[in-house]
Amino acid sequence: MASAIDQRALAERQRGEKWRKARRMAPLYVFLLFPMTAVFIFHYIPIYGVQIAFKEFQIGRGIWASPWAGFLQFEMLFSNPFFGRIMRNTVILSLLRIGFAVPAPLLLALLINEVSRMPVKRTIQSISYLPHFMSWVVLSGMLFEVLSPQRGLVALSANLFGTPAVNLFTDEAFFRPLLVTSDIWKEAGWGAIIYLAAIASIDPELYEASSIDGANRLQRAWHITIPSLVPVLTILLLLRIGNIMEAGFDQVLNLYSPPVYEVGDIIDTYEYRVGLIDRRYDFSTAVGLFKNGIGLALLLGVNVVVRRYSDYGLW
Amino acid sequence: MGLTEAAYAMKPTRFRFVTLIGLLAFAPLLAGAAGQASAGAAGDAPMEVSFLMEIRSGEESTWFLDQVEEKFNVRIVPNGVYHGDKEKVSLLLATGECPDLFCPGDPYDNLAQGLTRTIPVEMLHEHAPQYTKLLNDYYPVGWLLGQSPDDPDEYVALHMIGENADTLLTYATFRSDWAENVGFTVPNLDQAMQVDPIGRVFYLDEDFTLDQFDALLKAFRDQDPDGNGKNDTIPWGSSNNIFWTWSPLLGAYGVHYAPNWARPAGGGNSLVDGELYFWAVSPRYRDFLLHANEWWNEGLLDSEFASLSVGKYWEKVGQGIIGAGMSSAWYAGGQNERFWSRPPNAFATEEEAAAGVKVLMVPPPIGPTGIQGSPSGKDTGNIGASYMNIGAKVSDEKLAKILQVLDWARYGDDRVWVQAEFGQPGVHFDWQGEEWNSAAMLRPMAEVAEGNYQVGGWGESYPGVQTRTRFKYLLPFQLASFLENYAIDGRGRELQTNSYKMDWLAETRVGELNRRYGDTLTTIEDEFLYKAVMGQVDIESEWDAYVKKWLDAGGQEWMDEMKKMPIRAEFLKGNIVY
Repeated sequence: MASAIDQRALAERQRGEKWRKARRMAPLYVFLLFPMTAVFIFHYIPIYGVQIAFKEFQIGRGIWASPWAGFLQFEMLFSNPFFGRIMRNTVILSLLRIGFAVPAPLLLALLINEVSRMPVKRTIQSISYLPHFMSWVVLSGMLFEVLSPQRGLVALSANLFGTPAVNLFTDEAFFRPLLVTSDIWKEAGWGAIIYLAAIASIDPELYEASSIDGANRLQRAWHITIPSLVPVLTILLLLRIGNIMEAGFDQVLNLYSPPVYEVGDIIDTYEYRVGLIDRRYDFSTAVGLFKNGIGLALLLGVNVVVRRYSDYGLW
Repeated sequence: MGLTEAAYAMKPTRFRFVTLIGLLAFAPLLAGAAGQASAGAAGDAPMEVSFLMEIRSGEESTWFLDQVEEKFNVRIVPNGVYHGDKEKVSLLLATGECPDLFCPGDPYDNLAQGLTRTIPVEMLHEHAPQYTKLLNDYYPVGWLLGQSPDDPDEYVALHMIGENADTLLTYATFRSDWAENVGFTVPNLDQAMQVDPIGRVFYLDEDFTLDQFDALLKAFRDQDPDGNGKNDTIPWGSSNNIFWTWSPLLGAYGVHYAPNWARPAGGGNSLVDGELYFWAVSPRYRDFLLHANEWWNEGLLDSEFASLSVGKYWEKVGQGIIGAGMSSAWYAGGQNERFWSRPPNAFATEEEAAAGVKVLMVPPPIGPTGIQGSPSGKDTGNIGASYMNIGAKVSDEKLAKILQVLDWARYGDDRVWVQAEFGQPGVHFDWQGEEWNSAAMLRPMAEVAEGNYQVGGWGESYPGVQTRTRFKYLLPFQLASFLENYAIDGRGRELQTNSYKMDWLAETRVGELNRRYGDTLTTIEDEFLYKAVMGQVDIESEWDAYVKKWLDAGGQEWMDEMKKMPIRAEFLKGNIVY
């Protein structure tokens, strides 16, 4: 009897503790409301419009009143002569980014971490962040000038070595490397922030102990820093795989042209041309839905695999 | 217990509280109803009309729109969107923000999409007599165009009139002194016709063969025409805009190209040996591609052209690195400051012109089989080049008001139209010569306190109603004279190419099929064009596969439908012949 009363008292105390904690955190919950509202408005409410992927959408009649068309838009997508190509390009570009653009910030973070002088470190960080804050519209203009076969570095090196100047923007062989390297240039600095934060949280005693044991910088990075970053890297990789169908719309749209459609036209650019320019919203919604379906399946699948072989994962 | 019983059962304080809450909840509704009733009772509140219209100064209205509001007791709400901004317009329409009056889009497609309403013919007669007079001038075509497919007494939109539309406005252009510098003798240079107000741009009605033209471009490539000691002249100014880059060469091979916006009506076809072809799969197009590829191999094109917009091409002309390229006669007048930096003006500075430099526009070159021509920019007649659509939600009462406004401001008295187009004389523009009898030369933006280009006037979102009687206001007299005597009635008309068939009345499924297959076909066309020109595919061996791919991707169905369209030239005479 006494123990039952004790347990009830304990439960009540715990509940009271929870409430006190919640009240203490109230301002934080209020702050959370803003992003949650934004997510609800911009990510959940639009789901209502997904139905036009199964309709013949007529703008004037609106989403609800437009006639149903079953899987017509999907049939048109799968029978489109460019379907295979845009899928292939999307996946290849995404994999290239995972292969090159994901490790780049990690490498940069490791290098920045090794800089001992704080002013130099901060300067390098600031310079490396800078391109992140510029849109692809601006950066593409800069790239066109810098890599112009008539005025830029390409023209200069062609003159120097006496070779013909190649237009990197219209040559299939160079276009994908151009996308990946320019993406690294733009985002590596920004991406390094998360790794630098993770590095900062590593117990300094581990470094001190390894120093006493005679480990040099490279060995410390290899045996302490990188293993400590694996959880963060895994989460980021998982998220990236979930977004494998996002191959960099802004960047590709601003840099591509018909001669490189074969290697550069991705699902998003095709969706943009058909949907926004040709006003076929139903078709482009079907394309978007298909793309998101694959992304979700990949994310869930990879999460299961990662959970099976490690302790990390999203859920 | 009923509601009343329940109310009496409440304590008096609680009942008053509930009543108060109820009244507060319904207050906005009641206030709205009262407001509506009073507005209706007053009867003279201005009617709000939304226009798809951009005012370049960023202001909410213009001097002329203020006049309209006062005269017609309306409040015009420009939505700040420029009609040429495809993305903005597309988003605007998709989100249901369709204004009461707008011009983009094929009018039949807009109607099918439920974006617009039709206009009863009796309302046109009653509220737009000047407009109906113009349609009578174009009888019967004026009254046929825009007719609703379901009801001949209803119209899908209002026509804009452009009596400069059915003509040739773009020409190959180069500097006479540069041509002389590379040893190219320009015959009869002294007979060149001045087309601009300052004596910089001239038209020389002298034919060249394609071989001669190629020789000129090669000389620009090899001989430093500007004498700056550098080998930096790009012989032929080129960009990713097919019309602005390839028009004369397409014409020399008898290919009639039409811009994408003409595709919903089936534009861009021509007869080759009695068979109807779309330009991109015509056998003549293959011959054109072979020649274009020669230009690329010879280094006559801009090496960046595939990733260069037409605006960048214009910039390069201004930088003095383009030997020859396309230009629009319309810009030669310089009546608008934005035209100053575009070709043909951009080929030489005013100082160079004062020193005797002539920028020459010449007819398109004669091709290897004797064909000569250049695609007409509009591919329409003078009427039907563009439309004004009435939003689906517009009531009859509002439509009547819109028609009255348009009839007065756009289709009526020339003086009103001048003010609608340019604003107030002496404030927004100056006369080139005699008042009300010469061109309105817009003041530069920086010189007018309240902004400028069409800031004082109608705003910039509507193609003009440009009849011949208005040319004298619209263009400097030198350019007006060139258009009247050469481009419209003279040889320009003979040189322009147009589609053989067009579906202006939306009688066939070409519009619907274009919506379905248009982007896929355009992608196939663009890819092959650039790769063929740049030598990335072998034209001879890949041609059949390209045509098959195009036909299989919906092109065959589209072409079959095109064959059912009326013949354009006959239609313009009022005969519907298929």
